[in-house]
Amino acid sequence: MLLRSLPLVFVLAGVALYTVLGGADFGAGFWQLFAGRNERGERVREFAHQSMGPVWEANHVWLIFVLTVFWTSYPKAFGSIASTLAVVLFIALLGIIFRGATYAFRAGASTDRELGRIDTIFSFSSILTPFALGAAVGAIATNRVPVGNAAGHLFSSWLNPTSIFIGVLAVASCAYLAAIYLAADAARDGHQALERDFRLRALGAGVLAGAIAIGGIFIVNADYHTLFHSLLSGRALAAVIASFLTGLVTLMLVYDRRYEPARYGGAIAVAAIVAGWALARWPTILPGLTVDQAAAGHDTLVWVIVCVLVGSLILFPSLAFLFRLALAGRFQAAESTVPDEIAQPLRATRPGVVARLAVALLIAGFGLLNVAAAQWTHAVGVVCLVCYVVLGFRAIIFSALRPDRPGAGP
Amino acid sequence: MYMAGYVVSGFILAGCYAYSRLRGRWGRYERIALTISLTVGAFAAIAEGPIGDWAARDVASTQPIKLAAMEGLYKTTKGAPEHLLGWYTGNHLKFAIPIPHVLSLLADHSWNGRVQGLSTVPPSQRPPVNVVHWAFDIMVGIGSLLALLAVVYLAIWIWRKRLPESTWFYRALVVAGPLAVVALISGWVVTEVGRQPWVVYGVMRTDAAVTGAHGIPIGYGALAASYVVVACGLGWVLRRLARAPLDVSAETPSELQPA
Repeated sequence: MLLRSLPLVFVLAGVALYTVLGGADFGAGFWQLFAGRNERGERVREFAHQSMGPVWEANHVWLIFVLTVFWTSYPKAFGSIASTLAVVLFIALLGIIFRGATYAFRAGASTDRELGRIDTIFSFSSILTPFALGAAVGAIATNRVPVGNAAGHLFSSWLNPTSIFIGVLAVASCAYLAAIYLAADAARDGHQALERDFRLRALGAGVLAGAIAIGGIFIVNADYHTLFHSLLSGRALAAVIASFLTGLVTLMLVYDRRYEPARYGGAIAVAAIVAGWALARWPTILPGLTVDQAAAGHDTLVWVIVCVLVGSLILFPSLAFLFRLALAGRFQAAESTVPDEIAQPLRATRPGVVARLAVALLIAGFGLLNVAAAQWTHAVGVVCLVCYVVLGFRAIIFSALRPDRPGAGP
Repeated sequence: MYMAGYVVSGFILAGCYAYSRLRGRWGRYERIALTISLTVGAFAAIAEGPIGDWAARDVASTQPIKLAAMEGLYKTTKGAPEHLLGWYTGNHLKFAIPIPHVLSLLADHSWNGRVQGLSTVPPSQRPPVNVVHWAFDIMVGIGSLLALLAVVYLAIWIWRKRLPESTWFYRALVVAGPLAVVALISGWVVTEVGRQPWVVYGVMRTDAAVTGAHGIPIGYGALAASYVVVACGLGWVLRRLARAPLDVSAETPSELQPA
């Protein structure tokens, strides 16, 4: 039971993290669209762009994580969802493609007009993607995705009151989170005007998201009573109440200009909605398909869990480092050059020794990979070849980079 | 595949700076950029040799029909020859150049090793041989040329302690970048088309795995159109960025060559 449920817990944790972290990115795009076309709006846009710059790519790691763990561990459920919701997931994909592309294209803009056009596409994709993903969640939540290859309706599965409600709620939550984070960043960097702007936006978006959530409960009741009932009973109700209360507390924190705790409060409020939804459905994934029935074979699940745990040993320290730098505002500081005392020892290594080691690794790699026949020798052989590339590179590159190197050019 | 990624990016970047050199722009910036990218590409291209050999033996044992399609081998053969180029028709390769025993050596590491042929499975379970065979030959051919270029480059570094000076080397580098991409794509064709009609070899056929959703061609058309738009945008951005003046404060005027 634990073996079959644990990957789904990872998936849900990934969904929650994506909603909270990726959501803030999408929300920043939302505010760029509604910043207005004057100088003040320009400042808001520029700040939103810079603020999310360093972390925006990292946050989308969670979407990839969710997808890969889900399709490896619950292939039947994944196949049913991906085929029935092909259209809406495709729309989300287009949004993600254009978001990433326009983010990069910003570097090439030289006039305000070009920048404005690029930002508009960026903002529309930033709204389209969370809406589409929210609508997909709505389709699953209202049991409109049956088990089977494209067994549900391609359009009505996600074009229904509940899906649209969850899509709109997703956009509003993203805007709410982004406004809190941006207000916090602005306060940290000492931009008083921007802080005021984003504080107002956070308060407005928070009230609006809360109102949409409460109003939406009635939409859900009319559209799909079972979901309404399961959300308002048992453990799910606890999560819904927790979300409501943390949301309220966060609003007060923002009002009070205490942004650092508000960052976490907003994140918890949104994550609690994901938890509530999961608790309302557990242990059903799709109608007539429980977590146990949907799970992949024993060995697959064991390896998924091992890989996730080992991967998290690398991922979490890296992310913690990234967020520490981002939260401390270190990315906004001027770029520093590598101090000489760090660069010096690299140059001091003797290329001859490294080069011989590289050749030795190439021969060892060849022997282990191509002469020896056991699985483990192959694994070691591949590692040897990778090390050979790295060391070979080092052997050549540091002598090549010496500015005084004789015969460096024609 | 991972190693191939380094080969492709290394040679593409090196190709850009080789082009710069041919056009007469050859300062410290270009020299260092070419050295860094080509060094990575060169070491990786050489490492592809052992890795490719390992992959071939792995395919021979896990997906023998894919290997048979790569080589256009109809009958199961002991001491099978390797065939270069040619056209597969009527169950054998016409106009191909045979190299005796080499296929057995590659697949089995023995002179008379047994290599399974296409005839061991019914026609409905064989991939389109010519596509796979040609893609394989293109991949290996380009890969070998890149490795040769890499050996030339590294040999000059080791014995002369400098970059090659021949203009032909830099012309070859300019061509090598796009060719590396062709080799990479050919490798994908070998692995994907070579496995057909299976999506999971011997377990699930591709037609059983495909989505039942309608309108997939429309979706893929939209996706292709989106990527065309993104590619045009990328070209636009790169041109814009290339036009901006290069900020190389360490550059001394004496190192710049007149264009």
